[in-house]
Amino acid sequence: MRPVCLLLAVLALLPGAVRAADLTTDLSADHVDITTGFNGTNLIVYGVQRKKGVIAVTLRGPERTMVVRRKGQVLGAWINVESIEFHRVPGYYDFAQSDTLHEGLAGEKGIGLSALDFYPEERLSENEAKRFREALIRNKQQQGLFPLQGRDVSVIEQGFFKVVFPLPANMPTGTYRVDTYLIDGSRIAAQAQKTLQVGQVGFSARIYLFARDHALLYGFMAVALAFIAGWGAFTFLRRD
Amino acid sequence: MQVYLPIAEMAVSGESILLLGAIVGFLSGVFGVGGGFLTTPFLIFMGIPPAIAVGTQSAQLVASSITGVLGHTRRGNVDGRMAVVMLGGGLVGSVIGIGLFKLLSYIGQIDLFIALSYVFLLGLIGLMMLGESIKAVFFKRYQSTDMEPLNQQPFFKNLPYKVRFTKSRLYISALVPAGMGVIGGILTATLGIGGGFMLVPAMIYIIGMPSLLVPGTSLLQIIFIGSFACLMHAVANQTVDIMLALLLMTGGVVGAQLGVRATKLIKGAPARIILALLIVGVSFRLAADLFLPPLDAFTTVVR
Repeated sequence: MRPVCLLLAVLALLPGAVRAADLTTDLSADHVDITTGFNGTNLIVYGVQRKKGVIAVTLRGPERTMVVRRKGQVLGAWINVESIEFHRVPGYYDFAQSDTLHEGLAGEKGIGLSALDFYPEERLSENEAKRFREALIRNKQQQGLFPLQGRDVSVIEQGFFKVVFPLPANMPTGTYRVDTYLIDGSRIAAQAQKTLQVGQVGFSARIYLFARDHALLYGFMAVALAFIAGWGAFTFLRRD
Repeated sequence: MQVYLPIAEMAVSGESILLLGAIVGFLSGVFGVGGGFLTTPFLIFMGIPPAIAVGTQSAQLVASSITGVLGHTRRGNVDGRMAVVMLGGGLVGSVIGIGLFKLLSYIGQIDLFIALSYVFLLGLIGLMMLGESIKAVFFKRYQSTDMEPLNQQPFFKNLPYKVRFTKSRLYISALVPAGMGVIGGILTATLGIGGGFMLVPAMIYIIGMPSLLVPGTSLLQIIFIGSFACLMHAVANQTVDIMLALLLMTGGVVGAQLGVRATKLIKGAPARIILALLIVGVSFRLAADLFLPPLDAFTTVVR
């Protein structure tokens, strides 16, 4: 056993291992439970930085393929005339930073809305791609799934900070990633990653899973419910 | 109170859904209409995805049809054989409808299809009802003129597969009611409505059924078409939200009871004017969404 302990002690003293400890983060919860009464919640990211630098945090929901459609006027009516698919769009995105960042760095790590990368299915002219990209961000903002602007990093005490991310009721379910960066000029001095599980629990989850895994049985249940409700309404009405 | 809908994966205000169910139930209590033609557009106005609105509405449709049929059966006003023949066509229609729904969703035109259909159907029905009831109120002696049923026309007489419908005292081709069933099935699967408002006049004027038997017979086949459409939506599209259905039905049962009590206080024709105005209003609102420039020409959905 002793050689292993010695090895660990040596590893801990190596520069790389020391640098990882320059930044430590944790979440207020590692899971968000969506119950029948769920109406959104707050996620708090806590962190300790042992070196001076700018703190930036990104929160990314599970990636989805999104379709952006454009309406045009046809015979007076506004109907969808054009559509573009974007792959690997985070279903939810939010970010925070304690100061302005070096632009190249923000782009590389996807910090901030303008730094988000989406992958259109087909080749588009730069102008087209930009219009659809902007529309995608605008629509997601309207749905409350992308932020209008970044959150604040609040410093509780020297080197001890926290970020509050308000999460809406319509947040997509799945695995979320929280990345925290400690930035020194144009260089990342340290980074830390945490994951967050968002899922339906309890009654709500049971319905969701049942509807997915036993679709036919679920359909019969819905019909049975309708029969009971219809029969119930009739018996109530007959009393009059 | 916010309620999280497990299939729609979104939170809605429970009170609004209950209220919507109650209003629609009230209308069905007063006028005997199914009310699906109002539920689907209002659910969409409230931000429920059209696919979930239509899928869930099929369950609600079954509930309200059962309530209606039980009443008609007790009085013996149902032609079972006619219902079975229409049902045969209806099942074919629902399969076509579900396929159409899936295809239109994929190419991004389902919203347009639903909006156009509702604008057309509600506009037509609403204006016809409005005209009829205004005449009934202001010209007391006005009586609707009797029309000769079309089943005596040579085209309908020469169709094959003649069947005797003892209860309705008819000997006609089974293709006519089956064809109507197909149309009803498509409407149920794509719009979440029973199509009673189209089937009832068609059964009277085209098939020539005794009008006493029509509502019960139409409702009986709608129960099965609705159930079938509900199963198909649950399996093929996973768009039946049982929580949403439960809220709508609970509101519906309460509303229907109030509606039946209110019939003693409400006069037929003026009340029909109000219903007609409501229907025309919904039609206009949908048309406005279609023809006014949208706030944002772009929309984003998950594929």
